[in-house]
Amino acid sequence: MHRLARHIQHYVPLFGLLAAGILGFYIFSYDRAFQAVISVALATSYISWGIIHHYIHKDLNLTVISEYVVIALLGLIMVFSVLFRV
Amino acid sequence: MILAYTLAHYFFPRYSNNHRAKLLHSSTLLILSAILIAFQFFLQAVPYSGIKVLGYAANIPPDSIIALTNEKRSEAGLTTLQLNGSLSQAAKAKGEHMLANEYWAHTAPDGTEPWSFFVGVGYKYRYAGENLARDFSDPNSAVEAWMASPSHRDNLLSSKYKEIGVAVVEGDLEGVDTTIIVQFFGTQLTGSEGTVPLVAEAAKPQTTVTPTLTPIPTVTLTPTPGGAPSALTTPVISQNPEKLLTGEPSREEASGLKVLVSPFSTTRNVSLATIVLLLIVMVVDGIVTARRKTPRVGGRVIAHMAFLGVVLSILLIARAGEIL
Repeated sequence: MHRLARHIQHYVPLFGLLAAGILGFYIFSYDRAFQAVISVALATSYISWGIIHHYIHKDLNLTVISEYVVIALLGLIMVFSVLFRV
Repeated sequence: MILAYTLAHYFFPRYSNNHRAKLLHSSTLLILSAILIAFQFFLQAVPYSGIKVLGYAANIPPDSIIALTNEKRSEAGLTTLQLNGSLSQAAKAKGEHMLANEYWAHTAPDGTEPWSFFVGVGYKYRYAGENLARDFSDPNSAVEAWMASPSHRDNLLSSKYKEIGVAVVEGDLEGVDTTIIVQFFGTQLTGSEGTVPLVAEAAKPQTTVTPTLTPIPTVTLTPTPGGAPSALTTPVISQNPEKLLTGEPSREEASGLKVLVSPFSTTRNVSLATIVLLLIVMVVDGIVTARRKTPRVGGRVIAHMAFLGVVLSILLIARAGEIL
C-alpha cells in the first residue's frame, strides 16, 4: 500500500486502462469478437505497463517480464474460455 | 504433516519457495494455464463421448419475448406488433431446421434463406426480418442482448413491421443441449400493394432481397393449403401452432434424462474459483512480504491484483447466450 501511494503516478494510468477495458467489455456485450479484441488489448497494455514501470525503476529483467506475460496469458485464457464457451 | 508442508509451500511465502508462494511462481501459473486449457478440451470432448451431461437449462416462454419486444417498442413510441400464428410456425420451422442441419446462422449451409420459411407457411410478406438468440437463461436477457446490438435493435424497433412470430426450440446442436429463440418480424403483402417490392432483413448482416413480385423460390419448402410446410427437412411440424407457444419439455426431459451441467457456468465457476484463490494468495503474500520487508525480484503484486480483478469483473459481467 505504501508503494502504491509512492508510485501513484504510475498506477493511475494502469487503473485507467483497466477500467476502460471493463467499460468497453460491458458496452460491447453484443459483439464477442470485439470483446475478444478488448481482452487482448487489456493484456497487452498490462504487460507494457509492467515493462515500462520496471524499466523506470531500473529493475527490469526477464523474470519480471515473464511474470507479467504469464499472468496476462492466464487472464486471457479465462476470459476467452468464457467468451467462446458455447 | 506432509500435507501441511505442501499447503504452506504452495500458498504461503517461506524459505522453501524462495519467499514467494509457489502458486505465484511463473512456472506454476503456466501449469495452471495448461490445466485450464485441458479442461476446455475436456468440456468440448464430453458431448462426443455420448454422455449427455452438458446443456443449458432455460425457461423461455415465447409470449414473454413478444411482450418484452412490444414493451421496448412502446417505450420507443412505436406501435406494438400483433402475434401471427403463421410467423410463429415459420420461426419454429427455422429453429428446427437449424437443429436438424447443425448450423447457427441466418442462412443454412445449403443456402436456405430465412425468408423461405415465411413463404413456406404461406406468409406473403412486404417486409420481413429475423433475430436469433441461443443459450439465454431467461427472456429478458435475450431481449436486452438484442437491444444492445444496433442491427438487432433496428430490427426490433423497425416501424416497417406489423406482426411478430416467436418460437423457442430446444435440442442438440453440435453435441450440446441448446435453447434457440427465433424471432420473425413481418408485414403482409396486401392486394393493393401488388407493385411494392419485397424487402427482407436479417439482423446481421443486413440483407436486402432483390425486388420481386413472386415469392422467393425455395426447394426445401412447399406451401400447403393448411399453411404448414410439407417438405421440410425437420421432423413433423406441429399441426397446432399454439402448441409451440407453451414451452414444451425438452427431449431430455421427455425421456427422463436431466441436463446436469451447463458448460458456460462450469467454465465460469472454475475460472472464478481460480481467480479468487490467486487473489487470496496474493494478498497474503503481499502482507507477509511487506511485514518481513523481504527484498524480492519480481512484478508488482498490486498491478497483478488489479489485472486479475479486471478478469474477475469480466467473468462476472459475461453472460451465457449469443445473438445473431
